[in-house]
Amino acid sequence: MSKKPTRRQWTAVLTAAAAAPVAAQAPPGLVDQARQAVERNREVLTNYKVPMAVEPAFRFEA
Amino acid sequence: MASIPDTVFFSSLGELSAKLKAREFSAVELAKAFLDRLERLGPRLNALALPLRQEALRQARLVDRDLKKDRPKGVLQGIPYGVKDLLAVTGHPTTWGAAPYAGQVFDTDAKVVQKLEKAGAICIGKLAMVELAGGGGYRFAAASLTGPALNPWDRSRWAGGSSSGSGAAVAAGLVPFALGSETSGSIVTPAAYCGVTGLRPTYGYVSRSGAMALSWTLDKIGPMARSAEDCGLILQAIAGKDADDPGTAGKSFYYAPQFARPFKDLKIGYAPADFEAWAQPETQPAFRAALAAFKSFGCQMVEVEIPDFPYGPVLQTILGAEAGSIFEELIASGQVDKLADEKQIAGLKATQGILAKDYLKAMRIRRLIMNAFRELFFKVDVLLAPARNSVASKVQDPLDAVIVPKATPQSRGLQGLTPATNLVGAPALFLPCGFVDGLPLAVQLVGRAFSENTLLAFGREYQAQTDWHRRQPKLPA
Repeated sequence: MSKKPTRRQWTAVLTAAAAAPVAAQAPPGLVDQARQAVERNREVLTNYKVPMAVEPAFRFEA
Repeated sequence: MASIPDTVFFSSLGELSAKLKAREFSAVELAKAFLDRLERLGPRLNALALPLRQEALRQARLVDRDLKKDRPKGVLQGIPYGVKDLLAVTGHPTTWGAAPYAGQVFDTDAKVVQKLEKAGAICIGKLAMVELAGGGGYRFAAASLTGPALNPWDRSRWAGGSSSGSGAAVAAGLVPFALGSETSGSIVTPAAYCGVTGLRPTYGYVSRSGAMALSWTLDKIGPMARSAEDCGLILQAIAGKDADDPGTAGKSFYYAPQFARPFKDLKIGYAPADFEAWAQPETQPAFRAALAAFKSFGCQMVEVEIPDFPYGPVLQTILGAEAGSIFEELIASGQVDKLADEKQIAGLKATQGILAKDYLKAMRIRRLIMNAFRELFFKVDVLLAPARNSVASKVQDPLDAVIVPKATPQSRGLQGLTPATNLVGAPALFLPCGFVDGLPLAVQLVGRAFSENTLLAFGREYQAQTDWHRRQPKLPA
């Protein structure tokens, strides 16, 4: 639990508070930046190891 | 006609109900007084989407008739309120805060509006919101059909979003309570920035039928009001199973904080780093005082840290995939370009590139997150943390500027609690806890699913010992 997170991890946590993709500064290329954010998210998810038996939270019950 | 004193605009539901029953004023007089105030001050705060004067007064006359015939319906009878403009009200525009939907009209009330009408509450207006509840991600407070919602405590500051008008209207005494919605942050932010009490219910407690869908697995509707007690009374009226919303859990809610376990038997989880290193320096005294107040209740205080998961990418992928499907036609037709915020437009367009494997992976990690929080809630009963680390931002400031503490904290504390507990579907209560430079701050209490009465018991006790929730902003005449 005491593993020190990287600056990039902090940024991911903090930007998640707003319901928003990370991306975006000023134009031009806002769509490209938003797509890059999707790519960055994909990379994080791909690299996150999940046991094969874990099912998606479709039957979602709080 | 009875004159309505200004103090009434900041009264609790119980106080208003008692005055109605004592015939100090009628429901029509009360509705007129709030309507006048909402129509006068609402536009100056960009908080009002649409007043509903005629319907409200018609309903108020029915309430007066019931009261005259001694047909009581409960504490909400005759109480005016407002709804975020993503909730349908029959025959009136429901814009979702967005230009492409400016002319949209539904022929059925949202289920929560129906339930409140049944309880005798009177909807007097639709309240402003961030366009499409900010689903694509927005950069500026002006991302709304009604312009940037202004904070009643300082009109150079933002009211927060996406339930912007709901927060501003309650804080300014334009309505006794309002309904907002949260997918990830849309009740907590305006509640904290505007200094009102907000309750994000457990996922599935409240029907979303007749509400704009942004994310089927994340959307929740909840009250924003003057106190924890008021939030409990409102939740009691709006909770329950609904065949029209397959996400509802089939549970009713009865506000009964008196039956919550004694505080001495409860454990509060908190992270010292949240109140020190993570909070902006000027906010720390207020947050520390709130922490001390909770410690004084006699609970066991347990230091915890948020489980280590990539909450941001998981939440953004799930929200993006679901919103991208919901708004597929808007995006494909090019109507999306009519939105006010360029980042929001770009974000929605980019959702079309999220792959099925991304969504599935995010939902699998979400399962692990839910398991981790289940374990955490075996160790503690509630989590306590600042609701936001800073006060409301300036209206013109970009919202995607990330504030990272100068010295990187050694602990992650409970940072990321908002996306994490939205993914889990856990309830949260937001309580005003102080001011910095005249702007409100708030703490949040998060509990396990369906533990609202425990959260509300804590909230009620905290608000019995403090008066932050009773403070009133100075408004233009």
